[in-house]
Amino acid sequence: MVGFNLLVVVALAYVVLLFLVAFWGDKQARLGKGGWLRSPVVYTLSLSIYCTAWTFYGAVGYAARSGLEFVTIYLGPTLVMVGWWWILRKLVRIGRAQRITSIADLISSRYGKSTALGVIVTLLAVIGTTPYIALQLQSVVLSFDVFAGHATVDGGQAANPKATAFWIAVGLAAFTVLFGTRNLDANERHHGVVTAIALEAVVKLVALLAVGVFVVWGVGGGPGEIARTIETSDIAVWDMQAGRWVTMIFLSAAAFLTLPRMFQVLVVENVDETQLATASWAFPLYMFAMSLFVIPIAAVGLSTLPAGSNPDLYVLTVPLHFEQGGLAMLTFLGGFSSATSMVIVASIALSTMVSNHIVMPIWLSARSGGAAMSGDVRRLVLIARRFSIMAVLGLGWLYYSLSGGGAALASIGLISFAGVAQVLPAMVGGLYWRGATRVGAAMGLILGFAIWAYALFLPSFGEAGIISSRVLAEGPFGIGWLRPQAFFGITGIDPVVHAIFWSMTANTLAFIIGSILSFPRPVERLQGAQFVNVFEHSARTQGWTQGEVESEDLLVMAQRIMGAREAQELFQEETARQGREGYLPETTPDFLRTLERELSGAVGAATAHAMVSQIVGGASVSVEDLMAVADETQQILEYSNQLEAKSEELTRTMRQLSEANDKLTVLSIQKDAFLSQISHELRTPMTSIRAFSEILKEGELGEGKTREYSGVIQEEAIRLTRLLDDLLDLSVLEAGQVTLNVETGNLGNVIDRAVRAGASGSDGRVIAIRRVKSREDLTIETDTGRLAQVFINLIANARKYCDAAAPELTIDVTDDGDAIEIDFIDNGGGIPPASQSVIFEKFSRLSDQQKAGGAGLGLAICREIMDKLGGSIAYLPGQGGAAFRVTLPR
Amino acid sequence: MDKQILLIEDEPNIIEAISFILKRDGWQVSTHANGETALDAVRRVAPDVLVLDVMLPGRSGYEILQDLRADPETASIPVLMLTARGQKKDRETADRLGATRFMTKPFSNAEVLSALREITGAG
Amino acid sequence: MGRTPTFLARATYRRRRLIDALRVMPVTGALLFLVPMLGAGVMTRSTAWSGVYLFGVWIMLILGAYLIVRNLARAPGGVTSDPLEAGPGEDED
Repeated sequence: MVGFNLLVVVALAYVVLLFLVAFWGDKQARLGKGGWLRSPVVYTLSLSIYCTAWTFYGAVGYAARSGLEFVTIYLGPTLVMVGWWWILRKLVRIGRAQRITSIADLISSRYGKSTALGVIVTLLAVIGTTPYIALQLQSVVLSFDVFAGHATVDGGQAANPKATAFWIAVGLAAFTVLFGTRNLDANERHHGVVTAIALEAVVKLVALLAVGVFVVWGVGGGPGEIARTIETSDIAVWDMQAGRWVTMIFLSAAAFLTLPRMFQVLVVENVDETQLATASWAFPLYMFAMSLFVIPIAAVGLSTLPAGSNPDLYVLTVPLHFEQGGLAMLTFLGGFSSATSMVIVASIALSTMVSNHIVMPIWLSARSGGAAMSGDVRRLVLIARRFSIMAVLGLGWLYYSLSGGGAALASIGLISFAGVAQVLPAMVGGLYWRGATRVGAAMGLILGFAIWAYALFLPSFGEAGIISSRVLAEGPFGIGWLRPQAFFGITGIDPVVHAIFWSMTANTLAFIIGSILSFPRPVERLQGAQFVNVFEHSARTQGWTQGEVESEDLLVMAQRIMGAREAQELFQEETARQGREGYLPETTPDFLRTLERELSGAVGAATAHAMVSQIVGGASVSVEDLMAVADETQQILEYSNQLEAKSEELTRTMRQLSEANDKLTVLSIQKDAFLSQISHELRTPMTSIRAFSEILKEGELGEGKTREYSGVIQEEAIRLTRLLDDLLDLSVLEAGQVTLNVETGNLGNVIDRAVRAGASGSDGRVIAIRRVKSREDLTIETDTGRLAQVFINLIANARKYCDAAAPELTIDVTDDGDAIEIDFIDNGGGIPPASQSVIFEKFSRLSDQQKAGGAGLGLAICREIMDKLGGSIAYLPGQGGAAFRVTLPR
Repeated sequence: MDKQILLIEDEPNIIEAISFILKRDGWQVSTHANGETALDAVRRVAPDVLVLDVMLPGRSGYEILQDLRADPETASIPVLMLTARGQKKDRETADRLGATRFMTKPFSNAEVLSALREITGAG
Repeated sequence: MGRTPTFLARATYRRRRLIDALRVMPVTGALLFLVPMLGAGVMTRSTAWSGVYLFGVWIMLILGAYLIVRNLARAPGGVTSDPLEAGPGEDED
């Protein structure tokens, strides 16, 4: 017999195991060994969160009460999975093409990136899911109690249910925050979570199968005997209720598509459509195995356990009755797994929705104006997600405590399903009907949800709840035809069937009528076409017109949301695609689309659209875009695709040509300017030297003046020499005649040397240097002298030109494996975009900086040196001050 | 002689050198180092002759010269242009815009003095 | 779709029919699952034998889906490609 204390130990050990497995999964993915995480098997197992504690324990209870009807809960999803070609394939394709982060995001994005719809679906999901989470907590508490009650040995005391539930909620919150909010981009997979859930999926299947095998062969004496046991039990005759049968199959199919947690694993965490194809038969097989032994267990439970024992716990109590402590323990872990995996994924899905559709819009409108440009959005979103997770679990616990965990919770699974199923018309309509509009979707959702709340949810609190028994019997204010469970006076329908029939009918009608009567906005029409015709052109998403946009502003915003490195890579790639160099691409409509989609992976479609709009300006859809939507049906797709590819190619070549031409023109002008500059740079010091030497030659000067004028001559002679040195250095470098003195050194030492030489100078200006020395501790093999020369130049430039009141230079080193990047970022005014492309040219001092004493050759020399060292130097826009990135190959 | 001369030049050492030789020769010397505000300085000082550098911060000497010639109040002031970019087209530009005399740096002190005396008629 | 070619190559034709079969799967399944409704409330039925029927239909459905997916996966365009569609866009990750 298993003691209660032992059970607690085993449960805790299992929790520790889950944490370890999650850590391991995360680590594998980080090390790039996570290939198996993308396999169809893991995807299928992660779908098993559909089978919660409600089905793990409840299916047998359901079967004990209503016979075969329990199976409807699995038949609906089976039909959806087997029919994946119809809906799921399209959902998954859209999910990836539009970087959808949640079901709320899907609806919001489809209907013109509507914030209001995002809020509605999010609220609906939170209200629909909270009781369900409470149900999971209850099931774990109940299963603990079973052991406490059965414990024959020491310490069998009943646990305090609220405290137990509280600590379970705390543990789940910790796990979810730890592994669920590691990445900001909801489109990235939560590897740790997925690994743990895959393990839990296996545990619950094995547990249920083990009980089944034990019951059939251990107790029942084989399949034939079991059939006889069933034939003689209370559920021998299947009293089928046709209405419930159809409704439940429909309801479970609908909920399978619309439950936030299912959408999370089915669509958001999907990485590859092949996964879906395999899961289309593998997941039904999983459910088949989960339900195979349900009827035998129920029959054996009914016939062997004393009357009045709770059939919802037969899975546990049957093994305990036959003194199978180990088996019962396994079952307990199975039930525990079912509950926890559902809660974890549900709270991740809900937290994404709450942060993207409620917190972000509020934050954006609170900081109207330059909101997109300021503040650390990334941190804000992560914090919002963490708090949302805790809030969701807190709500679940609160619901459990307030409802007392009584019988009221037993039917909550179906009620929850019916609530979230209200999203179905807007979802399926949005996938197949271009005419579906935001107004229609909102009307359908609100009406369906209201009827659900009135006819099913509120009455579920029991007679002492919000809807009194009088209202139930006579209708509100005595209006008979509005009785919550008998609309229009039609009585005798099962309450669940009644509520689902009326809410779904009203919902669908309102959705269709609202859509027909309203007129969609341009963005809605465009998104509608994108969704409905996703297989014809998944590359196209929302349209932006080319405007006068500062791509530097976009970069600043993108860095705050995606992280500096990711944003810079995205911008650099795009610039390269356009055939240019640097970090600031032209803000073409294509690029804006790409950028918006990347951002929506982090903050949702509506928020991303709002943020890009703030910078780009209002008019985001052009007449051509709309024409494209209207004409699509007549397009000869392949031909136009080819043409498009050709014209894109042409545009690119033209852009390159025109840039080359510009560059040539500029070069020719530069050559003239170069000679002229050399002349100026040489003649200016010569003028002083000649004038003063003539004065000195004439004599007649006092001691002081003689000394002063000789000093000037000396100073100007030095300036001339330095200029000649620089010129020679540059010409040697440019001619490629330089010999590199390659040696092994430490990057930190090179920077030390450069800081000593460059951070203060004879002109009296100083600049504070900020470094993280631990990150500089890298061994490099290069010409350290030349590298130091580059650093000295950058530091000295910052010292001379940084116009901040307290000049400060940050030297930041990043080692990404292939290359080392050393960023020099000061806190001054930076360099205007127009000048950024010329600063590496010879003599390109930006303003008159005579006082600084340079000839404007420094950066040109730096560029030549880095070129020779196999690296590069570039101006890094969008960092606040002037910023240069030196890249050194490893 | 007491003629008023305004020197518009931004290189401190050259300012020092020219001021020194001019003062020694008996001129009243004012200096100004910024191209943008040079016209105001000319109106304020109302010099008898102007020494104007081409490469100035803010505005080039050519632009200043053009404005000077366009304004009746200053149109008749003789101007000696100095430049360190001794190309032919620089001289042509200066002539076209109405410079009285054009000299390339470096120059001999005696040359500058005699040129100034000549254009102010202060032989 | 504006214009669909009238004649398809043999392999493409087979694939189209396979996809048709896949499309019919959920409809067939739904019909078979609803068969027990005939006579509901009129005749008494054994849970054991009805269970065998339901689970039998269920496993056949799974088997059918498995076979179709296995055949679809042989196509060069991948299991989810449809010859009549433009195919996944260039921005597939």
